[in-house]
Amino acid sequence: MDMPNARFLNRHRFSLWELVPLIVAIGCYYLFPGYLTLGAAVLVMAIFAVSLDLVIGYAGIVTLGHSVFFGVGAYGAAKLSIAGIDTPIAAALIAGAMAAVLAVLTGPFVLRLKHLPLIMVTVAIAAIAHEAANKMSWLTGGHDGLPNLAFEPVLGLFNWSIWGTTSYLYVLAWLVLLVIISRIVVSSSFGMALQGIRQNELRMRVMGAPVLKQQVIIYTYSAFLAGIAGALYAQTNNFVSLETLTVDLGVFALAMIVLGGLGRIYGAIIGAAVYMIVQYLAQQWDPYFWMLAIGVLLVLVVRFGKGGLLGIGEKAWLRLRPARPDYTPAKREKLEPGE
Amino acid sequence: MASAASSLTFILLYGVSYGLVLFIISIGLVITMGLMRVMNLAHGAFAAIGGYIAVSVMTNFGIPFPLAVVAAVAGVVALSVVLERLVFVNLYGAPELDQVLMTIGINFIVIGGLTIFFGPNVYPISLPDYLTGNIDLGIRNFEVYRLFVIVMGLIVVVGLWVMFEKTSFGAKLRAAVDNPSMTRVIGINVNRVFIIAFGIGSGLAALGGAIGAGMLPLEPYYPMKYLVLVLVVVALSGFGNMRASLAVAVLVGIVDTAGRFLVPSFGGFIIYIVLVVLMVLRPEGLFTKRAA
Amino acid sequence: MVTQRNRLGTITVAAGLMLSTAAMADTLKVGVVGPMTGPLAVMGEQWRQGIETFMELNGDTAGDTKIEVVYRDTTGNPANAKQMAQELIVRERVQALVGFGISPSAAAAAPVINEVKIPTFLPHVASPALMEASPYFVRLGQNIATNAEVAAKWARENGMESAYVAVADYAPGHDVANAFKPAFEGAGGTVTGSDNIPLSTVDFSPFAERIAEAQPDMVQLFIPPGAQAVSMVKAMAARGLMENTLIMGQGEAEDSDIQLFDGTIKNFHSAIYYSESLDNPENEAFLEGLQAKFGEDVLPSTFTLGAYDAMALIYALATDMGADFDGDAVMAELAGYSWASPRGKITLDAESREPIQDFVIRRVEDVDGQLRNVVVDTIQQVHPISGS
Repeated sequence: MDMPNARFLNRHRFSLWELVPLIVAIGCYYLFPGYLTLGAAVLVMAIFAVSLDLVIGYAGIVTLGHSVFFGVGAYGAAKLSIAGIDTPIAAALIAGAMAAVLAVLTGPFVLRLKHLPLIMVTVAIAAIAHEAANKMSWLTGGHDGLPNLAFEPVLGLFNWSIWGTTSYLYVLAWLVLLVIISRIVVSSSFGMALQGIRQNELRMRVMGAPVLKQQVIIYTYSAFLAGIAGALYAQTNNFVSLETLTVDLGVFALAMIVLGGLGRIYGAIIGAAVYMIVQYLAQQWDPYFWMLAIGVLLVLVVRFGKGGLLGIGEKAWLRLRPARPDYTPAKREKLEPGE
Repeated sequence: MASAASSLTFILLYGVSYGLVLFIISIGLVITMGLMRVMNLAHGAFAAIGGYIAVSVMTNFGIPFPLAVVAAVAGVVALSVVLERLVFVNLYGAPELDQVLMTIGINFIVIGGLTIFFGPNVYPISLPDYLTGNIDLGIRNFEVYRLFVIVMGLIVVVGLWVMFEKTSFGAKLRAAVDNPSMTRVIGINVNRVFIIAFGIGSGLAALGGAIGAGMLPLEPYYPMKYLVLVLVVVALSGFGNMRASLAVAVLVGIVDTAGRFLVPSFGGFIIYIVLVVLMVLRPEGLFTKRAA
Repeated sequence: MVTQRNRLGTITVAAGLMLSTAAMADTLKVGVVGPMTGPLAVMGEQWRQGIETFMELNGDTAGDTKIEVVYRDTTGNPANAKQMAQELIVRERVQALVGFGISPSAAAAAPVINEVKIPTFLPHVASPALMEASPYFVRLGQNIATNAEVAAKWARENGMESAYVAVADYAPGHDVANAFKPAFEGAGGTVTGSDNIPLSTVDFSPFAERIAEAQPDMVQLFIPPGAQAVSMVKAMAARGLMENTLIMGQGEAEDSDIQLFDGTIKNFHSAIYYSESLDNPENEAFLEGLQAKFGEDVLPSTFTLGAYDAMALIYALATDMGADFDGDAVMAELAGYSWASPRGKITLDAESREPIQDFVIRRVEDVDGQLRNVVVDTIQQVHPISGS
């Protein structure tokens, strides 16, 4: 396909395909006006899924405790609102920063670990955070949570409504912004270094790469995103409670990114969307049937290929597209952003 | 003074019984992780299935407790051998994330399946009469059931010790854990050792789930719920260090019991904080194995 | 926490909703929102039993108005509660809500309810502070502080000098502890110990041991029903506490749960506002209707009753006001409203919208070879203390 400004796009490996999810999202806004609160929830999860994919899929840091950053962002935004700092954009940035600070403080210790100890420690930290939030009910509202959160209109102009129009577009704007930044990050030489670490850490160390420092950087950036997702959750739900800190949240997000395609930003987004929508539709069933289905899905995806839905979609597209005379391997690469 | 002695004996007796149940459940995972380097997060599912089989044959068919436990262990061993050939064989040497995802997937399938068959609530166990009630130990009363658990735990420990130290299979197992490639070179069928060890480990988990059902109640979420505790024991033992895991399990049981008894509000924290600190300081486990 | 709400926006929304509902003046939709699936599914299931029993006995018309019930599932998650309430209001155009399995869910949905002024009937959630979240909440269960006070006074009257408080470490447990202690000590007793048991607890024997060491006359419990309650009672029974100490709770051992305890639950006392053994014509009709529709062995719980009574109120209001509920008018009508429920006479307090009702003390006893809750004492028309 023709790509204007090819040189700029080439450098960051943007492709026109990436507009498709955006077009779909805007289309949903017009086609499903009654479902916008669900839509906003899906988009919030998409941001969280992207943040998790950055650490697990790109950097290879297997953590089951990412929910702690989401929760810190959510409670942070809630407390900021209660304290009077309720401009949404600023509050989201500050909440994201709080999560990032936590990551920068714990990262240097936690990221020295590998394999089982890393998983254990991340789970333990998430469990401690959950239990602490429950105990410190003077701060967090404990089991009851923090209800009735109120925020200023976005940019002073766009009011929140129970129809969810503002919520949807607000979160969508954040998602687009964060995806653009993240795409630049992973396509940069830093992003390449991370993938090198994931594939063979020993070799990177031997080459003199500051592995721990780079891991802490991506961990912190990812926590920043997760914190923003948490803040957006607080802002669109007007309510925060302990389910933002459960270990389950991190496990389900892992299922989302695997479903969509591990190590692909759009995979995370697609996975989150499909997971959330099917879960919503499947609420007619027993949620334990749902758990069974997710389990089967994970087993199948691991067994038969980790490309996820995005991978399946791309393979199908490559098979279906007509042969073109100017088809060259170089162009073929551009069709597979991210990896 | 009497009260301090009573507290101490409480912590020891209850902590040890709790720790021994954890040991029986976890030892299988210590062996298989040491042996096969597979991160099997679904190990708790074997314990859960064992417990459910035991209780359901007791409740539905009136089969006596000892036979029910045997049935549970047999059932789970059969299941695990099948699973090993179908699923786990693909995980040997696979990237760690694959192992985590696959075994979490199995966990979810088991949780979903247990709910469908047994409902979302606790599945209560009716202990046989000879295991109910208390026995007078002089210093204090103690539940007969917990005494039974301690006795069973010790039998398992002795049985494992005999197996490891005195049988040829045990020797092959230890060799395979210490140095799989050399063991193959000598001509030992390491794959067969794996399968048998996996079966033993799963069977032990089922045993733990079945006899521990009076202390760790059976519910569909059992595999995830006790996963963390089991992984704590495994992580702190270091891979494949069977002797260490006994000490660690009992230690975890005692620390958790003591924590909840002495400082009830923070009891839940203590074991996690200890874990985090220990893992950061000594990620290879509390008892460093001699490198092969 | 002050923010400028766009008045115009709210009025537009409300007007839009009213215009569309005026078109369906003859049908009144009631939204039921709560845990239909998941670990708390028994609540949703028993609400449905209560609602369907009522509609079976009274038909589906109240006066000139047809009543239609729509269900939505929250799986027990408060974030879903808000979303489902929003859906019911915005898409299904319900005029009243029945629901919320746990207090945080009701609190989460409160802003939406307040914005559109939907009368909301809470069958059983018990947080004392909850009523402040919305002027449109009507509580049909209990304020958990009331149970604790009733228990404290009854225990003192029956000679208990020392008490040990053991509650689960989350809001309802704290509410019980905070209400019980001053009531018991105010009546001349001594609270010798108080423990908050973490929700993640697997092995309850340390807590049973602590209680046993303190040797109190009675223990005031609050443990979530299900796995936790079973483990705690078994641990206490193993320590001999069920026999020689008065153990008081609330809903840990409903009749439907008793078989989970394996005999250890005998002698357990509870202070609550309903027992299926109550002898009055409304309860008879309720039981008959319930068992005719759902089977001989089905027993009601406070969940079933709460939903049943919610329908009774909605029917009464619809008969009076037709299919178009004006939130403020409904609440004015319900202030001080009194009716005969299967639990006996119940009145809604004009200020707090909390129920004024009889409380009973139940004990689990052997009745013809089966363990059942038996009423051993009744405390008439207890006024709840609202707020925290």
